[in-house]
Amino acid sequence: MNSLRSAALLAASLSLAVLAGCKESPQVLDKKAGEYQGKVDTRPWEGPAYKGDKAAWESDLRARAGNQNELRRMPD
Amino acid sequence: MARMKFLCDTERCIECNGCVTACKNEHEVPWGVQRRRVVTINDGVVGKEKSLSVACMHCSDAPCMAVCPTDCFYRTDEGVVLHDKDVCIGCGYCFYACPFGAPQFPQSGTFGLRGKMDKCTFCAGGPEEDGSEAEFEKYGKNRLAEGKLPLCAEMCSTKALLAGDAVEVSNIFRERVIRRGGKGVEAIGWSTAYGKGSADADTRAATATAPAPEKTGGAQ
Repeated sequence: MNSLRSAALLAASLSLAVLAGCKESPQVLDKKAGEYQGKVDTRPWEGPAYKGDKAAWESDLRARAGNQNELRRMPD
Repeated sequence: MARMKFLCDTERCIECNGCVTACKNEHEVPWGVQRRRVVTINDGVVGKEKSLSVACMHCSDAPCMAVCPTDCFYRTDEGVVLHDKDVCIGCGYCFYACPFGAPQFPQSGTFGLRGKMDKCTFCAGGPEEDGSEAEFEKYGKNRLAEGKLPLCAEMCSTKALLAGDAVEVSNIFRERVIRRGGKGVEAIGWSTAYGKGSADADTRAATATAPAPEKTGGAQ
Protein backbone atom coordinates (compact mmCIF):
# COMPACT_ATOMS: atom_id res chain seq x y z
CA MET A 1 0.00 0.00 0.00
CA ASN A 2 2.85 2.29 0.97
CA SER A 3 4.80 1.55 -2.19
CA LEU A 4 1.69 2.15 -4.26
CA ARG A 5 1.22 5.54 -2.61
CA SER A 6 4.84 6.54 -3.08
CA ALA A 7 4.69 5.44 -6.72
CA ALA A 8 1.60 7.57 -7.24
CA LEU A 9 3.28 10.52 -5.53
CA LEU A 10 6.38 10.07 -7.68
CA ALA A 11 4.28 9.92 -10.85
CA ALA A 12 2.36 13.03 -9.85
CA SER A 13 5.50 15.02 -9.05
CA LEU A 14 7.17 13.85 -12.28
CA SER A 15 4.17 14.89 -14.37
CA LEU A 16 4.13 18.26 -12.63
CA ALA A 17 7.82 18.75 -13.34
CA VAL A 18 7.33 17.83 -16.99
CA LEU A 19 4.32 20.13 -17.31
CA ALA A 20 6.24 23.01 -15.71
CA GLY A 21 8.53 23.09 -18.70
CA CYS A 22 5.69 23.48 -21.20
CA LYS A 23 5.46 27.26 -21.00
CA GLU A 24 9.19 27.92 -20.86
CA SER A 25 10.34 30.47 -23.41
CA PRO A 26 13.96 31.09 -24.41
CA GLN A 27 15.78 33.31 -21.94
CA VAL A 28 18.43 35.91 -22.66
CA LEU A 29 21.73 34.56 -21.46
CA ASP A 30 24.25 37.29 -22.16
CA LYS A 31 22.67 40.64 -21.38
CA LYS A 32 24.42 43.71 -22.76
CA ALA A 33 23.10 46.92 -21.24
CA GLY A 34 21.81 49.43 -23.75
CA GLU A 35 21.53 46.92 -26.57
CA TYR A 36 18.36 45.38 -27.91
CA GLN A 37 18.01 41.92 -26.41
CA GLY A 38 15.14 40.48 -28.44
CA LYS A 39 14.76 38.63 -31.68
CA VAL A 40 15.73 40.21 -34.98
CA ASP A 41 12.80 41.49 -37.03
CA THR A 42 12.55 41.34 -40.79
CA ARG A 43 12.00 44.44 -42.87
CA PRO A 44 8.45 44.99 -44.12
CA TRP A 45 9.36 44.48 -47.78
CA GLU A 46 11.10 41.18 -47.05
CA GLY A 47 7.84 39.37 -46.33
CA PRO A 48 5.80 37.21 -48.69
CA ALA A 49 3.89 40.20 -50.10
CA TYR A 50 6.88 42.02 -51.62
CA LYS A 51 9.64 39.40 -51.58
CA GLY A 52 12.39 41.97 -51.09
CA ASP A 53 11.12 44.52 -53.62
CA LYS A 54 11.72 47.63 -51.57
CA ALA A 55 10.93 50.05 -54.42
CA ALA A 56 7.48 48.53 -54.93
CA TRP A 57 6.79 48.66 -51.21
CA GLU A 58 7.81 52.30 -50.94
CA SER A 59 5.75 53.19 -53.99
CA ASP A 60 2.66 51.47 -52.56
CA LEU A 61 3.07 53.21 -49.21
CA ARG A 62 3.52 56.57 -50.90
CA ALA A 63 0.30 56.01 -52.84
CA ARG A 64 -1.53 55.03 -49.66
CA ALA A 65 -0.23 58.11 -47.85
CA GLY A 66 -1.30 60.30 -50.77
CA ASN A 67 -4.80 58.84 -50.59
CA GLN A 68 -5.18 60.43 -47.18
CA ASN A 69 -5.26 63.80 -48.87
CA GLU A 70 -8.80 64.18 -50.15
CA LEU A 71 -7.93 67.59 -51.59
CA ARG A 72 -5.83 65.89 -54.26
CA ARG A 73 -8.44 63.24 -54.91
CA MET A 74 -11.11 65.79 -55.79
CA PRO A 75 -11.33 66.74 -59.46
CA ASP A 76 -10.43 70.34 -60.28
CA MET B 1 13.97 55.85 -46.44
CA ALA B 2 10.53 56.48 -45.06
CA ARG B 3 10.25 57.95 -41.57
CA MET B 4 6.87 56.93 -40.21
CA LYS B 5 4.90 59.39 -38.12
CA PHE B 6 1.42 60.04 -36.79
CA LEU B 7 -0.23 63.43 -36.87
CA CYS B 8 -3.66 64.27 -35.48
CA ASP B 9 -5.38 67.33 -36.91
CA THR B 10 -7.42 68.65 -33.98
CA GLU B 11 -9.45 70.90 -36.29
CA ARG B 12 -10.87 67.81 -37.93
CA CYS B 13 -11.19 65.22 -35.16
CA ILE B 14 -14.87 64.76 -34.32
CA GLU B 15 -14.31 62.31 -31.45
CA CYS B 16 -16.07 59.49 -33.30
CA ASN B 17 -13.68 56.85 -31.91
CA GLY B 18 -13.54 55.19 -35.31
CA CYS B 19 -9.76 54.89 -34.99
CA VAL B 20 -10.09 53.20 -31.60
CA THR B 21 -12.62 50.70 -32.93
CA ALA B 22 -10.59 50.02 -36.08
CA CYS B 23 -7.48 49.33 -34.01
CA LYS B 24 -9.21 47.04 -31.54
CA ASN B 25 -10.89 45.10 -34.30
CA GLU B 26 -7.90 44.79 -36.61
CA HIS B 27 -5.53 43.50 -33.95
CA GLU B 28 -8.10 41.75 -31.77
CA VAL B 29 -6.77 43.69 -28.80
CA PRO B 30 -7.82 42.08 -25.51
CA TRP B 31 -10.41 43.54 -23.18
CA GLY B 32 -9.02 46.36 -21.05
CA VAL B 33 -6.23 47.29 -23.44
CA GLN B 34 -6.51 50.49 -25.46
CA ARG B 35 -3.69 50.86 -27.94
CA ARG B 36 -5.35 54.03 -29.22
CA ARG B 37 -7.83 56.37 -27.57
CA VAL B 38 -9.44 59.71 -28.23
CA VAL B 39 -8.68 62.45 -25.73
CA THR B 40 -10.66 65.67 -25.41
CA ILE B 41 -9.00 68.76 -23.98
CA ASN B 42 -10.79 71.85 -22.68
CA ASP B 43 -13.94 69.75 -22.57
CA GLY B 44 -17.02 71.96 -22.56
CA VAL B 45 -15.16 75.23 -23.07
CA VAL B 46 -16.77 76.89 -26.04
CA GLY B 47 -14.33 77.48 -28.86
CA LYS B 48 -11.47 75.79 -27.09
CA GLU B 49 -12.57 72.18 -26.97
CA LYS B 50 -10.37 69.93 -29.07
CA SER B 51 -10.22 66.19 -29.52
CA LEU B 52 -7.28 64.20 -30.67
CA SER B 53 -6.48 60.57 -31.22
CA VAL B 54 -3.52 59.39 -29.13
CA ALA B 55 -1.42 56.25 -29.25
CA CYS B 56 2.27 55.43 -29.32
CA MET B 57 3.79 58.17 -31.47
CA HIS B 58 6.93 56.16 -32.24
CA CYS B 59 9.07 58.98 -30.90
CA SER B 60 12.37 59.92 -32.47
CA ASP B 61 14.07 59.73 -29.08
CA ALA B 62 11.73 57.29 -27.38
CA PRO B 63 11.86 57.52 -23.56
CA CYS B 64 10.46 54.00 -23.24
CA MET B 65 13.56 52.66 -24.96
CA ALA B 66 15.76 54.59 -22.56
CA VAL B 67 14.17 53.32 -19.37
CA CYS B 68 13.50 49.69 -20.26
CA PRO B 69 15.54 47.53 -17.87
CA THR B 70 15.49 44.54 -20.22
CA ASP B 71 16.14 46.51 -23.43
CA CYS B 72 13.24 44.91 -25.22
CA PHE B 73 12.63 47.90 -27.51
CA TYR B 74 14.04 48.45 -30.97
CA ARG B 75 13.48 50.98 -33.74
CA THR B 76 13.00 49.78 -37.29
CA ASP B 77 14.59 51.44 -40.30
CA GLU B 78 11.24 53.14 -40.89
CA GLY B 79 11.32 54.77 -37.46
CA VAL B 80 8.71 52.51 -35.88
CA VAL B 81 9.35 51.73 -32.20
CA LEU B 82 8.57 48.07 -31.46
CA HIS B 83 9.33 45.65 -28.67
CA ASP B 84 9.90 41.96 -28.14
CA LYS B 85 7.27 40.55 -25.79
CA ASP B 86 9.45 37.53 -25.07
CA VAL B 87 11.96 39.86 -23.38
CA CYS B 88 9.48 42.26 -21.72
CA ILE B 89 8.92 41.57 -18.03
CA GLY B 90 5.93 43.90 -17.63
CA CYS B 91 7.68 46.13 -15.09
CA GLY B 92 5.78 49.24 -16.19
CA TYR B 93 8.76 51.64 -16.36
CA CYS B 94 7.89 52.51 -19.95
CA PHE B 95 4.40 53.53 -18.87
CA TYR B 96 5.84 56.10 -16.47
CA ALA B 97 8.32 57.36 -19.07
CA CYS B 98 5.89 57.68 -21.98
CA PRO B 99 4.51 61.22 -22.41
CA PHE B 100 1.49 59.82 -24.27
CA GLY B 101 0.49 57.03 -21.85
CA ALA B 102 0.82 54.55 -24.68
CA PRO B 103 2.05 51.37 -22.97
CA GLN B 104 -0.78 49.10 -21.87
CA PHE B 105 -0.60 46.17 -19.52
CA PRO B 106 -3.16 43.40 -19.89
CA GLN B 107 -4.07 41.30 -16.89
CA SER B 108 -2.69 37.82 -17.26
CA GLY B 109 -2.76 34.60 -15.30
CA THR B 110 -5.09 33.34 -12.62
CA PHE B 111 -4.40 36.16 -10.17
CA GLY B 112 -4.75 39.00 -12.68
CA LEU B 113 -1.07 39.81 -12.67
CA ARG B 114 0.26 42.59 -14.88
CA GLY B 115 1.15 41.04 -18.20
CA LYS B 116 3.67 41.99 -20.82
CA MET B 117 3.41 45.45 -22.25
CA ASP B 118 1.22 46.01 -25.28
CA LYS B 119 1.17 49.13 -27.45
CA CYS B 120 0.52 50.46 -30.92
CA THR B 121 2.87 48.87 -33.44
CA PHE B 122 2.10 51.27 -36.30
CA CYS B 123 0.49 48.11 -37.72
CA ALA B 124 4.01 46.76 -38.22
CA GLY B 125 3.72 43.56 -36.18
CA GLY B 126 6.78 42.59 -34.20
CA PRO B 127 9.85 40.40 -34.17
CA GLU B 128 8.16 37.27 -35.49
CA GLU B 129 7.76 35.95 -39.02
CA ASP B 130 5.73 38.45 -41.06
CA GLY B 131 2.09 37.48 -41.26
CA SER B 132 2.54 34.49 -38.97
CA GLU B 133 0.07 33.38 -36.34
CA ALA B 134 2.65 34.06 -33.61
CA GLU B 135 3.05 37.62 -34.80
CA PHE B 136 -0.68 38.22 -34.87
CA GLU B 137 -1.19 36.71 -31.44
CA LYS B 138 1.52 38.80 -29.79
CA TYR B 139 1.52 42.04 -31.75
CA GLY B 140 -1.50 42.11 -34.04
CA LYS B 141 -1.65 42.39 -37.78
CA ASN B 142 1.34 43.45 -39.85
CA ARG B 143 -0.26 45.81 -42.38
CA LEU B 144 3.00 47.55 -43.18
CA ALA B 145 4.37 44.32 -44.64
CA GLU B 146 1.28 44.22 -46.84
CA GLY B 147 2.04 47.70 -48.15
CA LYS B 148 -0.71 49.32 -46.10
CA LEU B 149 -0.71 52.11 -43.54
CA PRO B 150 -2.14 51.83 -39.99
CA LEU B 151 -5.86 51.13 -40.12
CA CYS B 152 -6.71 53.85 -37.58
CA ALA B 153 -5.54 56.51 -40.02
CA GLU B 154 -6.90 54.82 -43.12
CA MET B 155 -10.31 54.41 -41.45
CA CYS B 156 -10.48 57.96 -40.11
CA SER B 157 -13.66 59.41 -41.58
CA THR B 158 -12.54 63.05 -41.49
CA LYS B 159 -8.90 62.23 -42.19
CA ALA B 160 -7.95 63.97 -38.96
CA LEU B 161 -5.49 61.22 -38.13
CA LEU B 162 -2.69 61.00 -40.64
CA ALA B 163 -0.06 58.29 -40.77
CA GLY B 164 2.83 57.59 -43.05
CA ASP B 165 6.10 58.98 -44.20
CA ALA B 166 6.91 62.26 -42.44
CA VAL B 167 7.25 64.14 -45.72
CA GLU B 168 3.88 62.96 -47.04
CA VAL B 169 2.12 63.63 -43.74
CA SER B 170 3.53 67.13 -43.36
CA ASN B 171 2.73 67.91 -47.00
CA ILE B 172 -0.92 67.02 -46.44
CA PHE B 173 -1.12 68.95 -43.18
CA ARG B 174 0.59 71.98 -44.70
CA GLU B 175 -1.84 72.11 -47.60
CA ARG B 176 -4.79 71.93 -45.22
CA VAL B 177 -3.49 74.63 -42.91
CA ILE B 178 -2.90 76.98 -45.81
CA ARG B 179 -6.38 76.33 -47.21
CA ARG B 180 -8.05 77.11 -43.92
CA GLY B 181 -6.07 80.27 -43.42
CA GLY B 182 -3.53 79.08 -40.87
CA LYS B 183 -6.05 77.80 -38.35
CA GLY B 184 -5.08 74.78 -36.26
CA VAL B 185 -1.42 74.91 -37.14
CA GLU B 186 -0.34 73.44 -33.82
CA ALA B 187 0.01 69.69 -34.21
CA ILE B 188 -0.43 68.60 -30.60
CA GLY B 189 2.18 66.05 -29.53
CA TRP B 190 4.29 66.43 -32.64
CA SER B 191 7.19 68.28 -31.04
CA THR B 192 7.05 66.08 -27.93
CA ALA B 193 7.37 62.99 -30.07
CA TYR B 194 9.62 64.11 -32.85
CA GLY B 195 11.86 66.68 -31.25
CA LYS B 196 11.64 70.19 -29.89
CA GLY B 197 11.29 72.76 -32.60
CA SER B 198 10.72 70.24 -35.32
CA ALA B 199 7.02 70.99 -35.52
CA ASP B 200 7.66 74.71 -35.74
CA ALA B 201 10.45 74.17 -38.20
CA ASP B 202 8.33 71.82 -40.29
CA THR B 203 5.40 74.19 -40.20
CA ARG B 204 7.55 77.17 -41.05
CA ALA B 205 9.19 75.26 -43.88
CA ALA B 206 5.79 74.05 -44.98
CA THR B 207 4.18 77.46 -45.10
CA ALA B 208 7.27 79.02 -46.62
CA THR B 209 7.62 76.62 -49.51
CA ALA B 210 4.06 75.54 -50.16
CA PRO B 211 2.54 76.59 -53.47
CA ALA B 212 -0.40 78.96 -53.37
CA PRO B 213 -3.70 77.07 -53.08
CA GLU B 214 -5.42 76.63 -56.39
CA LYS B 215 -8.90 76.40 -54.96
CA THR B 216 -10.52 78.41 -52.25
CA GLY B 217 -13.48 77.38 -50.17
CA GLY B 218 -15.41 74.17 -50.22
CA ALA B 219 -12.31 72.16 -49.51
CA GLN B 220 -13.11 71.32 -45.92
